[in-house]
Amino acid sequence: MKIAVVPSSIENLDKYTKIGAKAFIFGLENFSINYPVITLTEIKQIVKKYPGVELFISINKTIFNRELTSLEQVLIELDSIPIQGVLFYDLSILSIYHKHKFNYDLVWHQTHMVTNYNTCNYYYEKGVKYAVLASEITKDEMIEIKNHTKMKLFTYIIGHSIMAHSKRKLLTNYYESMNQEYDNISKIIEEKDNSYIITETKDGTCILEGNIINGTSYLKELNDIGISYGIIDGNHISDTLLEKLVKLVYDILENDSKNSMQEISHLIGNNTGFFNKKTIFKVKKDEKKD
Amino acid sequence: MKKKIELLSPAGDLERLKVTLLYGADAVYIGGQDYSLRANANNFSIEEIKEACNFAHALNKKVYLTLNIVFHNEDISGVDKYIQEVAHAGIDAFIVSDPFIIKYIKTNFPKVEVHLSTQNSTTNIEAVNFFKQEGVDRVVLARELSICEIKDIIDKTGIDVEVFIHGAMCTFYSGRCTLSNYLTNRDSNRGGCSQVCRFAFTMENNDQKFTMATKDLNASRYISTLMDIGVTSLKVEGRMRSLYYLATVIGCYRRIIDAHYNHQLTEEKLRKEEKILSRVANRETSAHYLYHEADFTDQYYTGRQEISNQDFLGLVTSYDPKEKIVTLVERNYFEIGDEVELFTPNGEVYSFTIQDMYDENMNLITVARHPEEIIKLKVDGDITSYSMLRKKVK
Repeated sequence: MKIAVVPSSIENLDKYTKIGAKAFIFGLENFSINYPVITLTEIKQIVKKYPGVELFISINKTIFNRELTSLEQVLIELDSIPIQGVLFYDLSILSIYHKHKFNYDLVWHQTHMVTNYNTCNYYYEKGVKYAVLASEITKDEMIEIKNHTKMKLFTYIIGHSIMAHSKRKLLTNYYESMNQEYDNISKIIEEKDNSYIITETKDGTCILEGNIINGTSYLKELNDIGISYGIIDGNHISDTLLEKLVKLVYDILENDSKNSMQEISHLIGNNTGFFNKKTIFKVKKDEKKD
Repeated sequence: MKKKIELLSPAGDLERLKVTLLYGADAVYIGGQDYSLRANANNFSIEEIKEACNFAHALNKKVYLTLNIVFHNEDISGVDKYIQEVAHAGIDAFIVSDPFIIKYIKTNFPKVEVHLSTQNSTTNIEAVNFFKQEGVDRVVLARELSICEIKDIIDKTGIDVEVFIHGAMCTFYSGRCTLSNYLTNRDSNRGGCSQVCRFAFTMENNDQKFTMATKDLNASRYISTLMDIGVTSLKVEGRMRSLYYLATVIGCYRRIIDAHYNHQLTEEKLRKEEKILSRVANRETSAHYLYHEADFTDQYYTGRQEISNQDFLGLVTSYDPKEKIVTLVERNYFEIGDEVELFTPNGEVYSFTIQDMYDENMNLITVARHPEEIIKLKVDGDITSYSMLRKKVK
């Protein structure tokens, strides 16, 4: 398994490559949500400076008609840069990809929808070589998917899980309703004893889980069954903490270090998300009454 | 020649399906007992789906089945058999979200249409073209689109397009929200949505309430435009809504559509329908993205603001034209002297003041105070079963 790091900016890549990071994911200016965004020029600089590194670009915003021309243009330009692949959400990207027969690989990254092997195989037949598994499925479901598809799979190991994305400007609207101006800073909202990060850009509002997910106790098993990439997502995590986490995860992968696992638990807690927790969707009649 | 636009209604059970078709829906969408995004609604068994299709087809109308969960591995086994059973029951289209299902249906049941669910949040021409090539017959567009964007998609893809016109709205893009999973452990993309977007949160550090719930959608003012730009189907939300709600909402949109076709949709008529629609609403409404970028006026910021509605007074079970006696089952309190209206599936409305009221045994009474009580009233008109009594809309 390779570790794919989502760093906060291109300035810190030296640190991570020295630790051993071999893959990075960035967003692209104007086309991404929940990723640090960079420009095409910066992408060219990265591939030139770090030739052995795999660079993935996430284009994961919802696309509207008015953006299709510029989207097609950047997808064409990306084909002239030796990136490893493009993570996509909107199906317009797959449509344009087929039209131009680009050289780079596509990564199916429909955040909450990558939940079964049949759909993985459907996209594989469409020429999509990779997928990022949804954070809302269990480790056993991940293993089952891996056993039934030829796709190379990514899974989130560490990061604030993305819970929801709206086109609405929920923070701007909230402050406007009180005749105040939104200061463009992410906020924390709370419900019962839990907190969540709410963040707004020109593309709308995202809500992320407040507690960082820690999947390191499943790392070895996921590595053993052949998950190709473990993602460490630095979004809303400080550079100092992220650097420590990347080092520790490498130590676990390479040396099966229990100390590093404990150190990570100490740093970010033990929120294992849905790795070992199955969601329900049919509520029993007696449960409904509560 | 342009196809006549379809008015598409939800139905949570057979009775609601029959009512909504009688009140003017051209087609109905229903959920089966598996694979639909309203996992906790009553939903239809295979036998009920057969009966629903027979009833609708006899009226030259259609029935669509939602099969729009985002599949997990455990859901895959058996879905092929289920699709076969539903297809043989006579369903006209499947509303799907997961693309591997599209291929299966188009390969095995080419005569059954496939409609792409709004769960996919399809927002642009290229994405529509992708699904068109996959064999999708109709796309239910994302609710985040403006009328201009919808028109552009219709003009440039030629695909049949379905647009939501009325009902509850999601705060987030459909398919891009798992708040329910994280806060309540219920899988929103498999029908377990617990409507966390209607919860009240607090802003850290200042204890102020933060909510993000949206007002409901009401596009009655834009129906003519949607018809003119070539929309195929106008969809009402709400498979868990009541008989009265469906009869009222579908009746209103039926009259708006017909008046537009007959060049008789005046401002006065539209206002009257808007007034009737507002009486069954339990939240404020807005046209949301159809005419502008949704802003703070489309949301609630002070928690839940839902209104309990007691306009619905009774459901007619029979009418004796000789004695001019209507029999109904009471739903809400009414009494002698109340101004009421009896509205029928064929669009007639009889306004009157209640003068003579009887119980089940024809004893004179002055008050109907018990829900489910059988009440008889003297009314002269062309009244049928499933007519409904409501407080007068002034």
